[in-house]
Amino acid sequence: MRILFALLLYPFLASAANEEVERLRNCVVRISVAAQSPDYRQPWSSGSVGGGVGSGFLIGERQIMTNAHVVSNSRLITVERDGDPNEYPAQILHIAHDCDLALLTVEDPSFFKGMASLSFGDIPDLHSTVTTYGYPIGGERMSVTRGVVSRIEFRTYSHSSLDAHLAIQIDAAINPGNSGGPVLQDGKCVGVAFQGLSGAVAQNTGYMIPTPVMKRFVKDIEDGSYDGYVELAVNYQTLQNPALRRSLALVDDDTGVLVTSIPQVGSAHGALQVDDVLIAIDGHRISSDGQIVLDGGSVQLEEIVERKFHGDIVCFGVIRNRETIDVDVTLKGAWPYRILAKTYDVRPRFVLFAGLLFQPVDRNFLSTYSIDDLEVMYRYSYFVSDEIYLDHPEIVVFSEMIPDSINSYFRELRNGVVEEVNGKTIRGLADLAEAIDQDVAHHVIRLVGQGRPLVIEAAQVEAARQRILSTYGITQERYLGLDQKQEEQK
Amino acid sequence: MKALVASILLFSLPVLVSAGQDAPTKSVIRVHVTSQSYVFLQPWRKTKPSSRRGLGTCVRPNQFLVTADLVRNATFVELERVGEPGKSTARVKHVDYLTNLALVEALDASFTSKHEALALTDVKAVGDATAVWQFENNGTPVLGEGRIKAIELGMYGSDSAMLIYKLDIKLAPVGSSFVLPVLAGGKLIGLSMSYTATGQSMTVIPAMVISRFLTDLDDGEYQGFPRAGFSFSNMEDPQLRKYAKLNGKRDGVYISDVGPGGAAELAGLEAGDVLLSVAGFDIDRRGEYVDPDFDRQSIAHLTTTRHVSGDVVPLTVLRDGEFMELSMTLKPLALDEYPSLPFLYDRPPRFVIVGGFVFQELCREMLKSWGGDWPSAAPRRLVYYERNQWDLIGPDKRLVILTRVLPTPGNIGYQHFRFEMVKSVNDAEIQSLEDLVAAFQATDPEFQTIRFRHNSERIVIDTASLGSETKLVQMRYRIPRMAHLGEE
Repeated sequence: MRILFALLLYPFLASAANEEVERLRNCVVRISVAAQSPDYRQPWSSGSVGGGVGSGFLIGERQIMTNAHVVSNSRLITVERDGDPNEYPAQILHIAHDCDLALLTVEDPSFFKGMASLSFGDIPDLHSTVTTYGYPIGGERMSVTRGVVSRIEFRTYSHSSLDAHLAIQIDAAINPGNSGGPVLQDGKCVGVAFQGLSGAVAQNTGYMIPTPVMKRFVKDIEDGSYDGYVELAVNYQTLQNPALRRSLALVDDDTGVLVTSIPQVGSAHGALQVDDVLIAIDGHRISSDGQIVLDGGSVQLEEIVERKFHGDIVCFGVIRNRETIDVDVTLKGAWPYRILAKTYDVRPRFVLFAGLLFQPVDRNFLSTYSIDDLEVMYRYSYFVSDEIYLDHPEIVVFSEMIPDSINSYFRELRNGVVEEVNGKTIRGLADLAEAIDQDVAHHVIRLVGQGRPLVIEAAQVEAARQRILSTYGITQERYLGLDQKQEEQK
Repeated sequence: MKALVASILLFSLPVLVSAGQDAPTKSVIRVHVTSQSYVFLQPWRKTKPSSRRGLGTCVRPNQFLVTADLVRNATFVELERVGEPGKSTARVKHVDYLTNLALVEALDASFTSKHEALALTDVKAVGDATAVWQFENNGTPVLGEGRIKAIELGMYGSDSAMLIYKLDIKLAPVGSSFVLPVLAGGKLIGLSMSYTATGQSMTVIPAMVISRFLTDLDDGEYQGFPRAGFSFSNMEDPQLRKYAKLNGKRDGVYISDVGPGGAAELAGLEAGDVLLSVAGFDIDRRGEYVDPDFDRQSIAHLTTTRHVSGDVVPLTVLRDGEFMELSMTLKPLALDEYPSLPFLYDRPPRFVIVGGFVFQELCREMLKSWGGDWPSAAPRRLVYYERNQWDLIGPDKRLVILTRVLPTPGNIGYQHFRFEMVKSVNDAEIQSLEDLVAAFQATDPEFQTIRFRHNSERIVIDTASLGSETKLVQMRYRIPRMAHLGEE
């Protein structure tokens, strides 16, 4: 009886909040996705079909914001509104895997009739209350959860598992389906619910993407394309040690960090120099531990770069050869880092030759194969820091074998890094594809650290190819990463 | 009570059954070993002592054969006669860790004067019966019987493969012994290296290896077992055989690697050669030959045991389709030439501590600090350098590592450095701890600068305060010695 009483009373007490909920019914949508994830063990196959649901919300003229992970690898996206029985097909306008945000639209204008968009607020205060809206598991209709802001800090976004941006932790659970839903405070959107911790690790812990990251995404796409985050790509050393400071003829003022190396592909290459002491960034003093004061708080100097875009300039105050100068750095991305990130909406690249599967090593590949080979893991781990990418833009591995009489004795050589094929040094998968197309009597494949080459008699290759393709139902022998149009033309 | 009676019966049963054989009571002795190793990541410290025991076999007057494993890092050795009271202090007379054999002797030879040397017996074949004797604490012998189930190449340690016998034998361990003699017809045919109760399988160092070990010692100067210094791949793949122009009826193996400075390299063997015969024996495509004693065996047996250091061994090789004859003079591994020592026992690891910075040289034993799965658990760079040591460090050189920083006021800002590879000190390239010490002494008057491989950060220290910082570390962390460079 008591429960019934409480339920009866609730509408009267919560009438103000109810108005808000009613308003949000016209902002928040449910997103259903049919997705297909690639199969790295059989990269010629089209991959397994799955799907899921998420949430999204209107942020402008026919623009629905959601998480990138909700719509990654999608084959069909549909959106629904509370109270409208129709499912509307939606299209991706922009998708940003590095900050887990995406923008969708729906062609049918009737979908947007009566809908309202949300405006962005600021970063909520610690201990303040926020409300999340979305369509999590456990029911069909819109769900509302209240939580308290418990932590604001940089955190790795699990969608790419590489990129770290500002994230806000709240004490409300973010469940599957919540993803992409808005988090509100004082009527404004202060974040996008995007990830949680599994119940086995922690309860009632959810994370949201705060508005600085959302605003940056919206600004990045203003020119019609998403370029992503930029990388300063400078390694520096903190300068707290007094002897180190004196050796650099620096005064004892707790200012500056020492540039120790500059990757060749990064923004700073050609502008900053090794042994430069960085004392200011865009007018903010850099302290000897690499921190700057921004908006009243202490943050790492990279935060300045975090907010910038491709082609933007960052200005450093630099002590070089005992003189203080200004150095401008034009910002861009640094592709070698992406090998460390999970990728989506890309087909696995591969070459299948004589039943031997060759694939480039990246995060997706390694999460499928869990390789413990020292050579592979060394090259992957130090790909960026040792600038291995300069000589080997790709680490090509003999990953798998389709058993056939042509390769009976190769099994134990799997997981080897390909060094040379038919006398040609292999810097990437395209090199390998080109090398095996050569007209030779024997194909000779050399793996790093393996004295014995893999030798394949050219005369046997064609017969083996026919056998392998038909027996194992293989539809494609190589995919080198041509774009969609070239693919369709083929 | 019933259970106790039963177990006593059970233990004594084998003795009754095997009345036909005599227990070698007069030829064995209990060896008690206390050992202590070093904490490799805090090299000034020793670990807690531990104890092991084994059964030594008398092979010469007052000379008892045990495995090297038993006496590794021994600090105190005692002998105890079987079934007789009293112990006598002993010492390790000789140890060869690559062959896993050692000799111990009583300091007072009269303690073992009644012992009789056990003769070694020659070649045994698969299927032959063997006897393994153990002794209860009161001296009662317990016999275990088993048969040789395989004669093959086996690991003597992480870097050493030589011939072993594998016995099929059921043993109830008695007197917690680590090492046991294996007999046949009252003579010694081998020494047990390991026993797995689940597989009822014992690995045994054969008499042939023991005999080589003793003969090598007899002339007063121990040379050690030779190593050819090459690795090979089998050539079962017909495509590989054809590619290597190995046509017709001959077989061989593909030489995949030739170790720098080794016997094979000095003989002119090259990677990519096809090895057809060694010492007059034809090699098959799996790397085996027909041994006069042991039937099909790996060529490793030829070059480690059948031939001894100093022997000149002919090799037949096919290179680019041409037959060639090479002659290889066998020699032992020069362990000191290893850039990363494969083992380091019976002596402390080398280290130098300067101003809280602990410098050591990369060696396998250091990596083993990360436990049994060190190849994946230890820092990846160190494992990679250990694996590729001949290329990345180079013969006769050492990789100096800053293993840790003991925090002091002077090294603030540097305390995050761990397992960094030292490249230079004051611009002098560092290829050993001696180089490091010399570079610190020949100094810049004001600063000492340390630079690293694979880390562009640097450490700059005040020359003036370095001495006092080092003293501070020594006092605060109570470190008994700040360097050990000796080879003792």
